[in-house]
Amino acid sequence: MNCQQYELWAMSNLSDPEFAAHRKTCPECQSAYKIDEQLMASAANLNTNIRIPDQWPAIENEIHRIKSRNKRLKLIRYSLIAAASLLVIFTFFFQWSEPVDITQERILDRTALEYVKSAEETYLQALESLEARAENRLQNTDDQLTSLYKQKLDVIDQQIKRCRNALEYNPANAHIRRFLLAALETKQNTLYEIIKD
Amino acid sequence: MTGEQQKLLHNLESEWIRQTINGDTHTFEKIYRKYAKTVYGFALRMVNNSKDAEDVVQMTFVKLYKALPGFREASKLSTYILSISRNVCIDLLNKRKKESNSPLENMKNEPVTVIEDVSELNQAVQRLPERMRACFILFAVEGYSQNEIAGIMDINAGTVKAMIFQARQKLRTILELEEGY
Repeated sequence: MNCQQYELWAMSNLSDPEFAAHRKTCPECQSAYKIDEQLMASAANLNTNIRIPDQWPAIENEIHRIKSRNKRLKLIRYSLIAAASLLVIFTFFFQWSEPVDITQERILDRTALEYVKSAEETYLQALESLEARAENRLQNTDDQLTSLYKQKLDVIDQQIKRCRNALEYNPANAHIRRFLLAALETKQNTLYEIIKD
Repeated sequence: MTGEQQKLLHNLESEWIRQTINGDTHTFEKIYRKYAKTVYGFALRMVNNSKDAEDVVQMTFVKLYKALPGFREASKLSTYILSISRNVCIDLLNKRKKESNSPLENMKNEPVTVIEDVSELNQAVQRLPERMRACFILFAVEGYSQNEIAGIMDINAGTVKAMIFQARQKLRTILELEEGY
């Protein structure tokens, strides 16, 4: 197309009345304008006979999946905060509290101690198996959920380590044994969640 | 639509968005029902494949659901939905190009002589470059204004005008409608 007036009008550099007056004397622009009118009229009909399949069920399923994932993420964040808080409390209890007369501490007798140690051993065996099953999932560091699970497990492992260190000096201390059992149980539940996910 | 009607629609959609963010999935279905046809029509013209267009619709509304908490209600919901849809179409087309020789590449050299029916126009539209195709579809098929298209495409209105003008020129050439000036 040689005439520039059409482009000027299309780019709003020529008003409609000016272009209409120009078209009367320019067969090229007149023809292009007429063709474009036909094109636009045909284009407006492109959607008239479209049948749209109903995709709402698939979209709704995906939304439910997103909602339950978000709920799980929230729960894990809260439990991570709770585990971290417990670790802080535990650290304060054993590092900054006044030394206590061991005769006044709650001490487990031999039978109770054997029972508790047996319970710990049971947890440890279960944890060994669960950790092996969860290993593959935990290697996927790109996933936000997995990353949160790993952080939670790190906090729990720190708690377990501190308990063990404290038990080296005070093996029959009921409080420390209770903390340790709680940490082992939390770790077990967390690994179950990871495997189930 | 009159100014008053537009204001009413805006208020209604704001309420839908608020209810969806608060967890009401049934309200989000209203948004889907209102805009599914527009998104499907646009996607179909962009990707030229009904199965892919269905995927675009699904991905668009799922992305919209996730993005609604961050939606600024100063812009129109329809514009926002179509901008998501445009991005999904572009991603799909880019993926298609990487995966195989697109049949569109082979169509470039096949002349179409006259608009006998809308399918020939549709084929010609498929031969436009992606951004130009999107602007033309939104303007000529979906009836959006150039300013609205600028918002959807995230380009300025001048570029939209240029794209639409060039699209019409190209279509005239592809359809061999010009009389040899």
